[in-house]
Amino acid sequence: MGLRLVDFDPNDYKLGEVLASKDGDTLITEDKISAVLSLYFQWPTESSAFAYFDLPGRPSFKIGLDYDKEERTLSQLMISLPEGVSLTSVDKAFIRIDVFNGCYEFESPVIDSFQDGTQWLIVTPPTELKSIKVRRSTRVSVEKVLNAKIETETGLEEVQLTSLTLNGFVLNKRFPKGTSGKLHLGNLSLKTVYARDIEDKSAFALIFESDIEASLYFDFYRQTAYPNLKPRSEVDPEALYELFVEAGFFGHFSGKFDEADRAKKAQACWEDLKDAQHFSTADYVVQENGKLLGSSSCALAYKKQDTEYWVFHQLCAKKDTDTLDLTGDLYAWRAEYLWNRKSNITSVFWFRSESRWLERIYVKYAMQSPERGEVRPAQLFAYIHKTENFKVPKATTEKYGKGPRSYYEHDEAMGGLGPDYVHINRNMNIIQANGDWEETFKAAEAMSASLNRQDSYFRVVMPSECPPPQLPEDRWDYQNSVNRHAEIKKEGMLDFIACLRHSIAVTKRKHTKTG
Amino acid sequence: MSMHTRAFGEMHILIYGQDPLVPMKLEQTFAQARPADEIRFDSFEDYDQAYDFAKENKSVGLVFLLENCGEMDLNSVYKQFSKLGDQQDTCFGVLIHNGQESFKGLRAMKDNDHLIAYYDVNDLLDADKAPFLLKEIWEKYQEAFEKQVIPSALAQTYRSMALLHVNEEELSFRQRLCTLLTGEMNVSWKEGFLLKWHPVLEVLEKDEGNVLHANKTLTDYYAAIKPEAGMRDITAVANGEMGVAQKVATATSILGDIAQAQGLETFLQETLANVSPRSKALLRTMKRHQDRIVEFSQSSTKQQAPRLLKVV
Repeated sequence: MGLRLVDFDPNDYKLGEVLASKDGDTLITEDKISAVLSLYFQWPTESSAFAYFDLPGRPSFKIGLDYDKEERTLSQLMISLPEGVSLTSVDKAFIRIDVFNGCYEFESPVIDSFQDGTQWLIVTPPTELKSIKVRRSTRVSVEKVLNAKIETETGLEEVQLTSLTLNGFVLNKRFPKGTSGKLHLGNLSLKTVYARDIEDKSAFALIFESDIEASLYFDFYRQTAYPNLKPRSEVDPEALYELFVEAGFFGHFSGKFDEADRAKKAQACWEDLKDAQHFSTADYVVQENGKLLGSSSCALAYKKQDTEYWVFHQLCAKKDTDTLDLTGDLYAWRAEYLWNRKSNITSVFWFRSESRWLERIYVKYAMQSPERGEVRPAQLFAYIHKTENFKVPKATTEKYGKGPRSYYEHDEAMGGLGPDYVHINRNMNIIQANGDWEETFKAAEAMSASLNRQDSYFRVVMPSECPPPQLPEDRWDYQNSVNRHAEIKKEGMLDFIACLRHSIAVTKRKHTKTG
Repeated sequence: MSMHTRAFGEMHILIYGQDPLVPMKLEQTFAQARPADEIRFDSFEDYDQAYDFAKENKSVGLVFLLENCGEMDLNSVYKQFSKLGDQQDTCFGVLIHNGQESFKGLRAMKDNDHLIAYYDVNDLLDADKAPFLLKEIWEKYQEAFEKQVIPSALAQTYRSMALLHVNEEELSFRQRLCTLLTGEMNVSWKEGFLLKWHPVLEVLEKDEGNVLHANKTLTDYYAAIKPEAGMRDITAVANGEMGVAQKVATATSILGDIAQAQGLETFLQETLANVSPRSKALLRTMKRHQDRIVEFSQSSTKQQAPRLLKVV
């Protein structure tokens, strides 16, 4: 029921997957209804409301919603109509509210109306809210003219894109239902099918045939969705390294095994990894007015059966409330990026519990979607493996940029090794284990052997109560600064963005003390 | 919706303990139960971070303390946080055990009357139970706060002194009216407590000048909701700029005076005749309860009649 098309606002996560919008649950308890309305009124910059009316032409408007803050229990809601709009004989209003990533609809009788320069309608509060299955990816408006070509049965046609989603786009003109063909976007040529009409425009869905195709499209999409995001390869490596230093990144990750020539090796590795972009790693930075503000990456760390484990890693950002939204972008793009790829992906990350902001984001997410993600206490170690010629099966090796990476898969331990500076402090040389050091040594041996290495540095992730290995101290160290392990499955990544946006909003308000 | 948007007022609520992830899980469970108040809850596993937070904000009014809170004893940890607030006397704590009450926890509860409750962490982390437990904790908090600001013996004294200047029926009418309006209007918990005492405090302030001044905490709080002197027009009060609690207090005083002069029913009929959904909450509430307000006043008058006869 109801109108689901909305004027676009890039900050909103709005109604309706272009292809697969469907109605969701009905919220009928007072607690849930008041929770939704609380969030709506609490976060005016994160919410919006629309109404339509059962009148000829079904007029619909973006509306203001208000209530009498002096009454304890909500007895009525007030709708302000846009300037110049005047409705008479309205008995009922259909209202839709968006808040963060959630969208809810209800209908209410109009019990009064009046004018004081604006027209106000007074309606009774909802007795039930229908939760609408939201379009899971944001639709972003294209500000500049964005030309493309669409190839259909009738031929090749020049068009303008007016908005983009992660897996679709809207064109500046209408096409017949059932149209399919190819969208030519620069060097990209993507399969596309007609989805629906939106006023005088048509929306199309994109069908990606491979991970690389999806990722290359993302690189196009991010120019509109995240205008401050640039590929790492476009910035000066020395300036970027300096940003890591200035942001205090190494303070959290330094240890006794740090290499003196880390800066040189890391920058050389970044050069080698250019070929890996969108294949096994994605690295972006945030720049505003030419100033480098942050950087974040995600990279394929290890695999298990048909699942790829990609690590969210090496996020560094200048700590400033004013740039918190940009920091949010540094988190959010990775979730969108991985969600858009075709492979079955779980994202993995580690963080410090002292970072209450991060803990809030991840715990909020894990509590809201326990089947799609988890956070658990973890103990992290740095470990130097020296090849001991264990009789273990070799790990598999694949190209990773210019260098190789070996992957090890086992029930008790899985991991990946190389190139060393995929993470700026070698933490992508990783073993994720269940607490058994012997299995960990086997994993390290297998990966080292497959790359013909004598010594290899690893980060080892163990359950929180796991004791250190029975080895001399020059072979291992605690990584005390990090004590949380979190995972998000692919199907939950866009929910994660909603949690992220909400947590950023809460954190900003806490910091600015406006709450 | 028994806990409304302003229930917690402006206070911060601190959650501290060293069980990994548990403080944040508690924070987020409470945030789910009270989304509008998410910004009031802050959780910490690191003592220094928690201490710095309490020191910086000075408005921590409630501390949730997990028994696993390091080497310091529970009371010391609680006191470290509570002493940093602007109103440390009215900061209270809730102890949380890991499934079984401990000797350490029970002893802390016995030694410190500012620790008002002792709960199982699993109950608090249960999303279905959390809203009810928060409400229960909140009631305990308000009870403890009231005892702190007006201890039982003092409450008795205040009331007896007020009755020297007004009769019991009149006081009762004003108190019932205040309770009725407070229940419908969006006042904070602290304002609710003060409104409960408003009819008594108003008399004492007028007729027993210095009695209240000895209780500085109370007079400081009461100053924020005291009725505006000289206001007689209920519609102007409802439409005015003063705070909600002050509106309730002022309306109670006006209606109390009119009831005493025996003209309440007519006054309400005339004043509320044109009240509609577009009117302010105070007027709509009064209109909704017009009959009850008149009934309160009549039952007070009826109770008053035999007494008057006796006097005659």
